[in-house]
This record gives sequence, C-alpha cells and structure tokens, in this order.
Amino acid sequence: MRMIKHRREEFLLFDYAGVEKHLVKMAAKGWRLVDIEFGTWTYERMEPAKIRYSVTYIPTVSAFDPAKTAEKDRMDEYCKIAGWEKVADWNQMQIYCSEDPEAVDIETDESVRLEAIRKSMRKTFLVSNILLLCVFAIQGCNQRLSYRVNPVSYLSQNSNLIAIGLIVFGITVTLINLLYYLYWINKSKRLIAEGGRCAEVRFYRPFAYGSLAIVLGILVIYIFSFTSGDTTLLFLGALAGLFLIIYLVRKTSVIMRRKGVDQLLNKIVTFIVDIVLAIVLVSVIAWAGTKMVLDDEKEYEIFISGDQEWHIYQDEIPVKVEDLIDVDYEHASYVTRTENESILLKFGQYMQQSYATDENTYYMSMDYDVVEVKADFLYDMCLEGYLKRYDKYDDWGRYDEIDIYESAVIDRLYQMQYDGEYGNEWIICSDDLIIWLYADWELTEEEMEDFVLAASKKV
Amino acid sequence: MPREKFHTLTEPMFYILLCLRKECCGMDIMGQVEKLTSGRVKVGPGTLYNLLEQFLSAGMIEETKVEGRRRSYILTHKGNSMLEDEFKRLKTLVSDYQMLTGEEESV
Repeated sequence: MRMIKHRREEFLLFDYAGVEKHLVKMAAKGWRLVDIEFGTWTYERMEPAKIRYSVTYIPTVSAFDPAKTAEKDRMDEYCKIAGWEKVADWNQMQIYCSEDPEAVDIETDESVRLEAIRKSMRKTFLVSNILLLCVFAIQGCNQRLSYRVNPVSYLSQNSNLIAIGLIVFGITVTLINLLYYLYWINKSKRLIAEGGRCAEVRFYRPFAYGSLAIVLGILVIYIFSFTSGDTTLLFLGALAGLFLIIYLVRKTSVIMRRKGVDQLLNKIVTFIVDIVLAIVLVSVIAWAGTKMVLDDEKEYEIFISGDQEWHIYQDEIPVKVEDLIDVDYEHASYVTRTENESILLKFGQYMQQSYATDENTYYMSMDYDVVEVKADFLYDMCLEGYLKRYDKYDDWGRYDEIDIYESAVIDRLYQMQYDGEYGNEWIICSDDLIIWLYADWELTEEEMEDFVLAASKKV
Repeated sequence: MPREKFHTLTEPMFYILLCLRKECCGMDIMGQVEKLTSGRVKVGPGTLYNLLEQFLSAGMIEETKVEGRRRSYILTHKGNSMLEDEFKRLKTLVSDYQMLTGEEESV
C-alpha cells in the first residue's frame, strides 16, 4: 500500500479557503499533508480523520528564508498556544492543523487577514506575475523582429506559430491571474466592510488544470509536427534540460533553506546557479544543433572550370532552366536552400547555377522562391512582404505591376525596375502561389506560365 | 475616500492595545483578552501576530524585551492616544444612544 503521495496542487497563493477545504478533504480520505516543496505537495497516509486546517500569512518571510526564522517561530508558538500545529509553508502562506474542534480560529479579524494577504501578494504573487508578463512581452518582441525580417519564412515554420500561440496564451493566463487577484481583493474589501469574510476563489483549479492541459497539448502537437527524428530528439533533450535546470535551481534553494543559509546569500547563489545552468543548456543546444546541421550536410561533386572550383548539388528543385528553354547543361548545381511548411503556408527557396566548361561561354542560372499560401487571408500580406522587400534601401529599384495578356495561369505580374529600366526579377501571382524569380535572361510570358505550371505541380 | 488606518479600531485591535497598557508578552495577550471579555472576544494567533507587526510599524507599540521566543511589548504615547481616541469615540456612541433612547443605566 502506498504510504506517501506527491501531488502538484494548483492553488492561487491567496486562496487560503481553497487550501483549507482541500486539506480537510484529504485528511478525511486518509492523507495528511507533510511538506510542500517545488510546488509539489507531499501527503502521508494516516487513518481517515476529521482534522481542521487553517492558513495564515507572514508577509515578511520569503521563499528564500531559512526553514526556521524568528518570525515563523513566533507565529508557530502563538499557534501552538492556541492549539494549532505547523504542517507546512508555501512562500508567505503558513499552514496549521488541529484536531481540537474548540481551538480558536487562527484568524479572527478578516480585515487583518486581508491586509496580511495583500502585503504577501505584493511581495510574491504580483512580482512573479508581472515579471512573467515582462518575459512574455520580450519574447513577443523577439518574435515580431523575426517576423519583420522575413514574414513568409517566419510564417512557414510551425515552431514560430507555436511560439506565438504559447506567448499569447501565457500573456492571457498571466493577465487573468492578475486581474482576478484585483477583483478578489476588491470583492473581499467590500464583503469585509459589510461584516463578511474574504471572498472565495472560484473556478481557479479547473482553469489552472485546463491551461496546463492546453500547454501540454500544444507541445505534443509541436513534437509531432517535426519531420526529422533528430529535431524531435533535440527538442525533447532541450525540454528535459529545461526541467532539469528548474529542478536543480529549486533544489539548490531548498538545500540552502534547510541548512539555515541567510536569505540574501540563498538568492545570490540560486541566481548564479540559474544563470550558469542556463548558459550550459543553451551551449549544449547550440552545439547539438550545429552538429546536426553539419552531419546533415548534403553531398556534392566538385567541378573545376579554369581556376575556379564549384560545388555541384543535385537537389530536386521544382523548376529547372532546362524546363523553360531548350538547353542541356552538363554541369549545373540544383540547390534547395529552404523548404518549410506550416499550417498557413509552404515556402521554398531554390536556385540553379549552371557552369560551362569554357570560361567564355555563359550558361543561364536562376534563383527563386515559391510560396504556397494556404490561408487566403495571408496572401496580400505575403505579397506585400515581397513587394516591399527593398524599401529599406533608398537607391534600390521597385516592383512595377506589368500588364499581361489574358493568361489562364498568371493573375498578376510585377517586374523590378531600376531607374526606368526593367531587370530580370519578377513576382508572379497565380492562384494561391507567389513566386519571386530572378533569372539570367528575360523570360517571356509563355516561359513564365511554364514556370508557374511546373512550380505548382511540384510544390 | 479611504479610511485612515487605525482611525477606528476593531475589537481585537482595541483589546490588544488595552492589554498592552502594561508591558505584556505577545503569547499572553490571547489569554488576557479572552479573560478580560469573559470569552466574548477571542483573538486568533494569526490575527495577533499580524496586528502586533502592524502596531509596531505604526509606532503604536514598542518591543521591550526578547527572551528566546518570548517578546514583550508596551503601548507607546501614540498608541495610548489612539486607544483614548477610540474610547472617546465609543463613549460618544453610547452617549448619543442614551440621549435618543433615554436609557442611561441599562446600557
């Protein structure tokens, strides 16, 4: 028979009534709380009993304080005189129990209780939630920067979409927590002014477990979205590393607490351990990621033309120069530079470099992006990203929309114009495709249609 | 407008301050209040602890001695005048009641 049970309990730090009721129920089922550590509540089996639990707050103590402090000792002593035994503490929250039904309630003045809770929350709950909000905001800004560099590339990666989802979700949950606290404080003040007690916290536990389930769900979807086993392993390794760091940092703090280390020293050491382990984790991830990329390097042949050495790759690319004009190049390198697909769009960057054996002969090459926009509402935004890609350069050309004859394939066509002269750079819109193309020759409209047809078949 | 802190005292506040007119150990206050009020007013340990901290930081009481876990306190001049103000306020309430109802001895 299991004698010890560890549970992760989801309570708001100010939900004293919820904690009390929960512990009374657990005792009635034969489980007595013995410790709270790392957010894990440890219960010991006992005979089911009717035990009273009461929670109070010491605003001046901290999670980094030694296990025994003068303040805690004093509170324990007062409670002992009143018939209450200390069970555990969680930040400023102090939990006591009593089997004496006549023992005086630990809190006999609701306004004093509310004031102690308010001071405690200012120190822990508010600070941690506001910091969390800042972390999410910084992450949000990072994502926005990445998006602005190349919106199409950004939106074509599920990892980015999931990161946005997690950030938005995190901000929402944190804001709900903060707003709920403000609501609770105001409601409690009103109830106390009317002679009542602090307000009850309702619906938080299902909300917290629901939120946790959503985050886990998103992570599982993310893991299954990986196409490569190595990437899955890297992600799982990083996740395991993150949990290991959280465990080690908390363990360090708890060991110091138990050894009676001073609060400031505990904070400094915990912070240093946190930073060092975070650097180690990031370095390991970077090393593993780089190694993965290097190990995955594509095979190539070497082609020498005069005193130049070229790498010849044979990737499968959607359109080759040979598909458009009547040529047969013996030495051409076909490279897929990027190929990503998310639920919103598919994005590929390809190029063909053709090399002649004779240095005086020039073979045609081309460089192109193919974007398949799955979500219609993103089409104009992606197109705008391409049309404005050179706006930041003052002396660069701009894309002009070109009139085309009635084409069943091309919807819109833009061509790059430098000081009144057109270059061999186009943006072709066709159905849900956006193609950016740079070629060594001026493509005819028929060649462009062939290009689109070939690209749409293979994308 | 928010009410000034300790402008009016709750019963636990009033009786704790009353007990501290003479130097008294924090641990003994709960028993003293209960005895003083014949069990009508009970001060819980959490309420006592937090009120003593609040009174200390408001300068209404001061610590007189520390013997192990036992800490003794006494009312300061400020605390005493706040207690007197509360007493006067309560007396005004009683007197207003008596004036309107004509009941003098029964209250």
